[in-house]
Amino acid sequence: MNLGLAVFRPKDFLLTDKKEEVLGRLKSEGKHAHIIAGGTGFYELARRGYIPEVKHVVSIMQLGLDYIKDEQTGLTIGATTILQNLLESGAGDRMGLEALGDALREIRPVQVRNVATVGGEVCISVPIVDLPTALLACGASLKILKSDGTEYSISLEDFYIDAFLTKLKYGEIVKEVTLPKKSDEKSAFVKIGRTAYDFNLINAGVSLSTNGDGKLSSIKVFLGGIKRTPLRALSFEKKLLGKKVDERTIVEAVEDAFEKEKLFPSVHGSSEYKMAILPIVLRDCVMKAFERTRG
Amino acid sequence: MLDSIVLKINGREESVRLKPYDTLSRVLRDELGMIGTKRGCDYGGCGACTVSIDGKAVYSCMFPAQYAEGKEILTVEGLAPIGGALSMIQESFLVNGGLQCGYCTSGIMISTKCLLDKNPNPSLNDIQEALAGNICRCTGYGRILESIFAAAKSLREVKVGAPIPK
Repeated sequence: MNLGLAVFRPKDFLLTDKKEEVLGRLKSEGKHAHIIAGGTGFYELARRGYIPEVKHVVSIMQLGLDYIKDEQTGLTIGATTILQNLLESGAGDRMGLEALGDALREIRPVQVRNVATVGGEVCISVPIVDLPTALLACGASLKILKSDGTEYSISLEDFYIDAFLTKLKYGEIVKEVTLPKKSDEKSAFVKIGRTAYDFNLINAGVSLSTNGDGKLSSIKVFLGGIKRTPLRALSFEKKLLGKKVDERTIVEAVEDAFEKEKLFPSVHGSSEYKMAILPIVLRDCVMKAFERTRG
Repeated sequence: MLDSIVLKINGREESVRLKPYDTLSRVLRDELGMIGTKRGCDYGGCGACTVSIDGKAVYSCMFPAQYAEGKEILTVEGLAPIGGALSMIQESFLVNGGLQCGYCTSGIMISTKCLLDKNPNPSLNDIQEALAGNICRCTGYGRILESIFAAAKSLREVKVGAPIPK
């Protein structure tokens, strides 16, 4: 039986503050190089034997990307910002960014939160992580640094291609995540996992605003864990837009919108099971955001 | 390829040779013989390998040893004062039956230490949050919680010669 334990044998581990060297190594070694940030995701993949082709481990932890900046346009979070530091910074208490705070508190255990990074959570691209769903609800975009020193931006929504696959090319790193300032929206994040400290089975991130009479004037809903990448629930949004929300409307909208969907099954939850808990997650998440609009 | 780095563990500087991608738990156990830090699942699922780095609990099985250079590492061996006495946290686990087989205990005591250093008077919820990443398959957790509450209490009331809390 191959337990995958002996497969991971990289040749070197680059830990430096020289940006050019890091980007150069990533570009020249291509699929044989792998970025490591906090390391929690990386070592799990390595031990499970998922990345045997990796010969060069390249750390971005000393590139000075550990920052949280409050700017005119919004909040900018460096890629190697530790989740616990982001949580303690109070970033998630800002107007419209409540989903971020919810998600950070739900990422357990503290041993992981103390080392895992924002960039790592975004880039690992597996359906079981929580932060991307919350960031999507907050309207996040990424700034990516290329090996020639130039940068470009991409919205997080366009970033994911498949599980373990993003639009990041060899020789590029995610430099920072930007969250736009919101003036009238409230957001929320809810997840259900197997246990309180586990990855999610399903999670949801919602951002919404209401007009004077309590009807939804805008709503954005993202779901994690139900497909191989985070999914925007467009038909569900459509069914709620312009309506007054209550628990029954939401559950009915879920039933309509997801009637024939096949959800991404995992060892902890089949498609059928996830379908059964989906209305609960969406109900709780939309109501939580909605309650917040009422102060 | 082997690198040599200096790690500050329990207040002492140790020079270790390591393969560049080695985790802290491998270096502690296999290079330095500090086997108080346990290897359980080896990928961040059980908490037996928990150590404190600059006062924060981390899983040493998924922490690159190189990242620990220049930081203060605390393992279970460093909990007790020199001279054979036990620390209050250890004493409390012993007296209150906070362990059975003991394999998870070093990780749990480090998590406890990190919690109590920041929050000397934790609520049940605070303890559950701090200990969520440490799995115990023997005790059912009741005695562990009692041990932590008692340790917190005695640490708040540190007096020379004070009786060990029951």
